[in-house]
Amino acid sequence: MTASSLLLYSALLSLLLVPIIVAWVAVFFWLRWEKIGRWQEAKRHEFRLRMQIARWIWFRYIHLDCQYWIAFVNFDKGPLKLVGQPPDALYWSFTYNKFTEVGPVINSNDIKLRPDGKYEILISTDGPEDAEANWLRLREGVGRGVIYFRTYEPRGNFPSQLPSVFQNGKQIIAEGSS
Amino acid sequence: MVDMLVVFLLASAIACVIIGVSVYVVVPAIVRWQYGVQAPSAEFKAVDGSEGAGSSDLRYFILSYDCRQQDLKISAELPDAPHWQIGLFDGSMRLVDGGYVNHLTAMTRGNRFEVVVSKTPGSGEGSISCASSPNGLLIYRVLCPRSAVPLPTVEKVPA
Repeated sequence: MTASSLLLYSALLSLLLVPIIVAWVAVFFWLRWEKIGRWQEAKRHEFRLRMQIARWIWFRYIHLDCQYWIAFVNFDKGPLKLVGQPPDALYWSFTYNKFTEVGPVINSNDIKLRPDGKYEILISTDGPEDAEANWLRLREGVGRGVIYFRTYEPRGNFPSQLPSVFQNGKQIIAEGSS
Repeated sequence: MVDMLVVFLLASAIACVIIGVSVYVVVPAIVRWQYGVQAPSAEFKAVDGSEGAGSSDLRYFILSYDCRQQDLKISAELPDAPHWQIGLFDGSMRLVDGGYVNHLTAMTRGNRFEVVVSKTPGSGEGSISCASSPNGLLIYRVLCPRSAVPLPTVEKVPA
């Protein structure tokens, strides 16, 4: 086989390989969605593929006064409960995204703390029995998506505390710090 | 057999290059283009932040800035909010070095703020630098405003 025909066949085969590789990565990412199990911080210069994808979709314009995190979850599998320590910041909030569609927000002005100083937030379609509980209303049919945690002007008290996420009584995202 | 192996390895390498270029060049360019379509060239536009990177607790105003020929003076009535900021972002959606000011660092005159976007920011008080990216996207964000946020004005001034 001549060099030019080698190149031609390689080019043709690569056109077949590209969709196969892309499909494989997409399926792998989709299947791994709920198994990541930790918060992912927005980082401007990180080169990993998952961060690159997250930057296209959720972290487009990162600036100096804030920190952002996302956690990958499947909202269809039952109500989610977030339990964590409030960060020392001017403002902090939780919302959720279905791809680029943004959900409602619950923020530090509205979140009530438990006697032990922690917060507990329910993310569900149905409201909690306790009318005083922190509730982030979930739209119907969100499915796979991300919980979005943002803080503004963290007051130097790093590391910021990231909450645990529970679903159906099981911890699916570990508490952490960043 | 050897030829087939060579073809397969070469094809894999070409496929990786195509995917790499798509991931790190083509898709960011599409995202940039999408934002470019949203932003008018010379005046602020309010956006609702529903395009993935936003929150309903914030008000966003965007502007495509171009300081290659002149500086830009941004001014507005101070918003009634605990935090506001102006940031410059380059074509790759990254914050421009020195292109950032917030409610604590901006220069205010009475109940207004003034920010000059300049390639030579040392020349004036209240300036931010766009030296590393003379054109791009400017985002004015206001956190949890207690009342309507006045739209900033843009004025071209000599560099």
